[in-house]
Amino acid sequence: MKENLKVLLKKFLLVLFVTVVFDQTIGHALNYFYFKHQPISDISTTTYVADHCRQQALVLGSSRACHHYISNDIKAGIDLTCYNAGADGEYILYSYAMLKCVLMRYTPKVVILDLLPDEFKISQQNYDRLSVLLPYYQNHPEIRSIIELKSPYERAKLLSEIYPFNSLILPIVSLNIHENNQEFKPDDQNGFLPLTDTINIDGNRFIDSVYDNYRIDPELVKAYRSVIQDCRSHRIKLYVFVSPLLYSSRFTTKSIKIASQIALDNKIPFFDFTNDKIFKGKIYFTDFGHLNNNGAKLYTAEVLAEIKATHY
Amino acid sequence: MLFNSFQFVIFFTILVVLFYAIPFKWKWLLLLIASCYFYIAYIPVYILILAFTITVDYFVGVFLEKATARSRKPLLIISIIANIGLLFFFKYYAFFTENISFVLSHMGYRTKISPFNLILPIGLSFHTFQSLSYIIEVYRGNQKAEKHFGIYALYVMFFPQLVAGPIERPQNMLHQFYEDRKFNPDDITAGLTQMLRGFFKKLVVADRLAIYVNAVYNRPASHNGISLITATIFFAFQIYCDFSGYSDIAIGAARILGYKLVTNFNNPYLARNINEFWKRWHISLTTWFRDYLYIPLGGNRVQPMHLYFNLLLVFTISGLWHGASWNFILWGLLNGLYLVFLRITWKFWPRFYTLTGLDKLDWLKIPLQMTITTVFVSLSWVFFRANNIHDAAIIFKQMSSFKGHLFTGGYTFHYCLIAILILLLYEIKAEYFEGSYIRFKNTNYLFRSCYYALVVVTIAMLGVFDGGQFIYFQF
Repeated sequence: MKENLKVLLKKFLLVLFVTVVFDQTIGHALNYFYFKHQPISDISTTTYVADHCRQQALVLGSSRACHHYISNDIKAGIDLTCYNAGADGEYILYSYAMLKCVLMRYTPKVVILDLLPDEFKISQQNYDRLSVLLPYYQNHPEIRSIIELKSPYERAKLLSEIYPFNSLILPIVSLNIHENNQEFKPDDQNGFLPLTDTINIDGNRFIDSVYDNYRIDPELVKAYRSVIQDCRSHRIKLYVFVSPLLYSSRFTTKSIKIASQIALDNKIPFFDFTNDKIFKGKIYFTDFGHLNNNGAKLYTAEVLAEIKATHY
Repeated sequence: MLFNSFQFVIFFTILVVLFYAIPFKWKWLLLLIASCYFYIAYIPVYILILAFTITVDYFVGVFLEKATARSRKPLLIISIIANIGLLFFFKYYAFFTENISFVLSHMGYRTKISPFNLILPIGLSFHTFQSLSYIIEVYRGNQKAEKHFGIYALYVMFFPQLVAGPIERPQNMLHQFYEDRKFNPDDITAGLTQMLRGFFKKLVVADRLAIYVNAVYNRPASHNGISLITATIFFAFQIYCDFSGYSDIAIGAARILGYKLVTNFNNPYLARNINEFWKRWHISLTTWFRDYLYIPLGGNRVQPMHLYFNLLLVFTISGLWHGASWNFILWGLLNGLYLVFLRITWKFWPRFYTLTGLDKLDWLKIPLQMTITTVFVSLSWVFFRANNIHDAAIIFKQMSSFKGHLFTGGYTFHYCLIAILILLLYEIKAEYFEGSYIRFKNTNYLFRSCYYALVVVTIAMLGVFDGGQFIYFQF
């Protein structure tokens, strides 16, 4: 048995060695090409915010933030350079991570945080979506604790150099091929991505009480508190918004109640637009949760008015 | 405990070390404890159900062996009632009460039979069938009753195949627990290789395809025909890789411990007709139905109409085995109809090939046969995957429509194609070009190591790590 075990161990160590060599070589190549390309995609939004941006005002949040706040209008309105760092399919943990990365480099003057009506709902998705931050684990120790929330084994998985770039091989190849192709470079809107379609569905929808029947994830509330705390300690003017929905809500959702109370306790301006009547027209929406460009223009103007009204 | 979890990696590593470190006489106990732990990681209380059926079947088995010819049948019936009764209670009660209420209300009777809201014990259909195969084999005199309660419990609970098969037969498994499993590097290598193959199928192919399929099938009305056809074909490969991936991991894990489980899949999408497909798909279940239902009903030695009826009956029951819903019943029935059609036209096809000249063009005929078989099988999967009959009807209707959204899901579509391509290349090579010049069987160990490493690296690069459960766990 001892002899057999020796042979097997030898073979196993050889496989392990080759795997490590492959992992390190391919992983480093992926890392190089991931961070090399120009900012022309979702990937580079994160890279840009984490490593490069210098704007005085930042918008943080999900896809609703990304499509609802026109950075250039905000810049004109408050006379501060602005970048919209909202990202599709991301939530408060991502926003918090982005803020931490930014604070390592500079202190913005204003942060606008957009929350979802069910921002604190318990959902595995909140953690799964943290995978977009995996490539930044190595170079951004300040966000490691957030990334490690993804799973108890994340630290072990991240021993691999390839794992952070899981499912990114095609975008990396594509971006590097099209790097110098001007057609692939969108207009510079400082992170804001306009939606052009208008919703075409009959009937009105309502958020009913079933929608609000969920449990609150304390980890998400903690992240929200931390955003507030970090902004306060850095003397950043923080504004929290819940942007409009085409849905009509018959009540204030559980998450919004919690968020507004925490904001109130910390003297942070909080604005809930979910039931604002101005926005209850289909012409302003691409779908039930996302404003189109017309809606975004109207909404950004409202946001600016609120910011100015708080004696900015 | 999921095979595709870190928890399992830790559990299995500790188990393997302990297994080869302890004396033979304690190995069964270690495996039994490990199997109990593996099972209670899902819903602990359901182990009591397993304990109940194990106890009943153990004693029925022992009594059956000693029983007189007259008392054998009642004993068999007791075991069948205990096993099927539990299965019915947990899996089918709600379905039947719902349908009975529906029929009665249409006949004008006001009735309210309240269904129990119970969570189906994981793997219940699998271990019920495994227990039944033991009892039937003892009843038929093909297998001696197991006297050792612990070994019998291990036969039912052996963790690699406990929750999703392969459904084992006592003749293959029981004697293995009495043989000392010495440390054998060949078993370890073969087992790890098979597990690696299983992880690749699950993480790289099945879970990737699931992203596309779920997006389309969960909102079928808003997608166009191209998306629906693509999702249907993708689902055919998803379910294959999900389930055969599980089987590979199960067989590989057992092999590392020195036990050989039966083969459950044999490149089913390379089958050239539906009959062959069912000889390659979920083999342990198909042979179970063949041996314990189809043959007792008369097998192939009955009049054609009787045979067609039997085929339809067996496949309908097979559908019902998969799930308590009309979707599964229709899925089974449709596959039964395919087989009946094949039986009726069996003699026609050779003449058709001669007439068209295809009999001399194997390079064209074989891929054509495989494609047609895959298309028909994929169409039947619509019932299997659709959320309900209404959705299935929408999917079939929308398949020919250009109205609606064409779904690509960013790079998801491309990843799916890459995954299927890798799978097909692997399987075609395994089926038609099996040689020793490449892959796991290469004699140069450095070359083999590179191959293993490449598979691991591909999983890390292309695998989906948040994919979750195996589809067949729900059965």
